[in-house]
Formats: sequence, structure tokens, C-alpha cells
Amino acid sequence: MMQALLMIALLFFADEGFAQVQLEAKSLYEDDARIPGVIIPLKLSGDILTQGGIAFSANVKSANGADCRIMKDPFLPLIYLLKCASPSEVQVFFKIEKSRQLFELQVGPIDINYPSGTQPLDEDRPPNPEVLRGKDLFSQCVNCHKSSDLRQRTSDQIKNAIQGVPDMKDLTNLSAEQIRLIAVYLGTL
Amino acid sequence: MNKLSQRFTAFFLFAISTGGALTLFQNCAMDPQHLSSSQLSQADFFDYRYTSAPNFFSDFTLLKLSDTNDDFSEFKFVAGVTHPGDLSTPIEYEVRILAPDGTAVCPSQTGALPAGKSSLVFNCVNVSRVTEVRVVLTVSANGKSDTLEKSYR
Repeated sequence: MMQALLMIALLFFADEGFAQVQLEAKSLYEDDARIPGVIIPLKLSGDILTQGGIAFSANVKSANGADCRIMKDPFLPLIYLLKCASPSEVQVFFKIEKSRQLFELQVGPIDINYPSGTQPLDEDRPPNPEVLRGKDLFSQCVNCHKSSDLRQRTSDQIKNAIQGVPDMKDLTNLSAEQIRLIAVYLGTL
Repeated sequence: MNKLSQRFTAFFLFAISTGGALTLFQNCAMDPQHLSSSQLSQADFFDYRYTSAPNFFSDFTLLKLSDTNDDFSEFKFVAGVTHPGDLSTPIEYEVRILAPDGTAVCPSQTGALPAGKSSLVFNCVNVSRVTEVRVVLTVSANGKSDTLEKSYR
């Protein structure tokens, strides 16, 4: 697995002549996890960064014009996140500033593609509304049960419990649909 | 009259130079609305979900295997999972691929990614046609855990 990408740094605008430094930008994911739609963390390292250098910009260029973007992790200063919406070969350009000198690190090309023999599905990130409704209905059960103890319970199991356990008689007003929604919620735990 | 003319000329020069300066730097001010929409757009694209420094980076996608029988459902799950810093600790994982009613589309996958391994790939086959699935990935290590859920159709 080629985990490390490239580690070439060139100097721009050096005050005291041309200089060369070594920097590294490493993908934290292996090759087979670099696919469209997946956020790929890249980690910068190198002496220049431990000696006061600050990475202040990053740009990504896609060979085929795909929508590929990069952002700095808001919490981890040396981590950048790369994502492409569709297959592409990309190059990433980091700029690092130290002592009023500007260094550029060029990384890539990085191939971001689907595994052969596969095709993407439509992704829907918002939570399933049925899960939210099921969670809401489960609030009637929390006086006696912890949701984690009932993980993966089916509708039939819940229905049997309501009919068989005397302390659950108050829940006999739940409809079959409401029981199903509770089961959907418990299935996510 | 001469004084008035000098004052007028001075005022005229002042107005011209001030106007020129304002014109020159008119685009230098921060546009909060533009920044905001740009940042929002970036956040939407990445769907960045952490509210503090993440203990793990994990993301995945579910793909459809091409050229499969329409009566079957065959998926390929691909995930990247790693620590941001300490790459030497194994990460435990659980992947559940569920139908909308909560039943498993295929057996859940559990295990531990050995140190240095950051990808998780497996195929999921169901003998019926499944058009909508939810995928839940839970990773844990050192007493911390993270769950990511996505839906596909």
C-alpha cells in the first residue's frame, strides 16, 4: 500500500537565496479508502512545522474538473480534509510560512476512484425520520428500560412484551405502526 | 476671491483624492455575508460532524456491485478509519447494514483494525431486493467511540 504520498517542498520568495526543505503530507487512509464522497484526512509533518512554520493555505486541482475541495480541520492544525464528489486525479498544494518565507508543498497525483465493478448509490445523510419518531415514542419506555438493553428488539417482541408484562399494560394503546417505529429506532442502537 | 478660489481648489483636490482612495480599497473590507455563505457551502460539502477535536477520523460509503442479479442485493462497503495522531492503537469497529424497518440486510461485521491498517472493505449480499438501506459504523478505542450513520437508496 502506498500510504505516503509525496514529500517535495520548493521555496518561494526566500530572502536569503534559494533554499529547499523537506515536508511531508501523508494520507491517513490507505489507497482503497480513497474514493469519491469519502473525506480523506491528510496530515502534514516536517521539521519546518515543528520550528514555527504555519500552514496557511491549501488548494486542490482536479485533472478532470471534478468538484474536489480541501479544508483545514478546525481542531487539528496539521490535518487537512480532502473530498471529491466524483472520480478524479487530484494534486494538492500547501503553502507554509516560516520567518516571512513562503514554502509550497505539492502532493499527488492522488487517484480518487470507485473500486472496479462498483457504482455509487444515492446517499442521504439526514437521519431517518422514522428513527426520530421511534426515538420519540421510546420516551414512554425510559422509566423502566434503557434503550441499549433493548437493542435490535423486533416489533413482535415488543408487542408480546406489552401484552404479557403486567407493568406494560399502560402501553397497550400503542398502535402496530408506533411499535414498528420503536423497533426501527432500537434497530439503530 | 483668491482665498475662496484656493479653498475651493483644496476642497476639490481633497474630494478627488478621498474618492480615489475609497474606490481603490472598496473591495478590501470583509464581507461577512459572503464569508458566511462560503463557509456554509464548505461545511455542506464536507458535512463536517465533529464539535471538538476528533478522536477518530472515520468515513465510509456503500457502493452497488455492478452486473448483479436484480433479484439480489449486492453491496460493497468501503470505510477509512484512523486515529488523527496515534496510529499504533488498534481500532474496534462494528458495521451494521439495515433495512428501513431495522432488520439486518446482511450480518453485522465486527472486529479490530490492526495498527497501521486504515481501510475496511467487505461485500454485503442479501437474497432479496433491497432498495433502501441504513449503514451504521461504530468505532472505538481507548474507551472512546464514534458513530456515523448514512442512508442509501
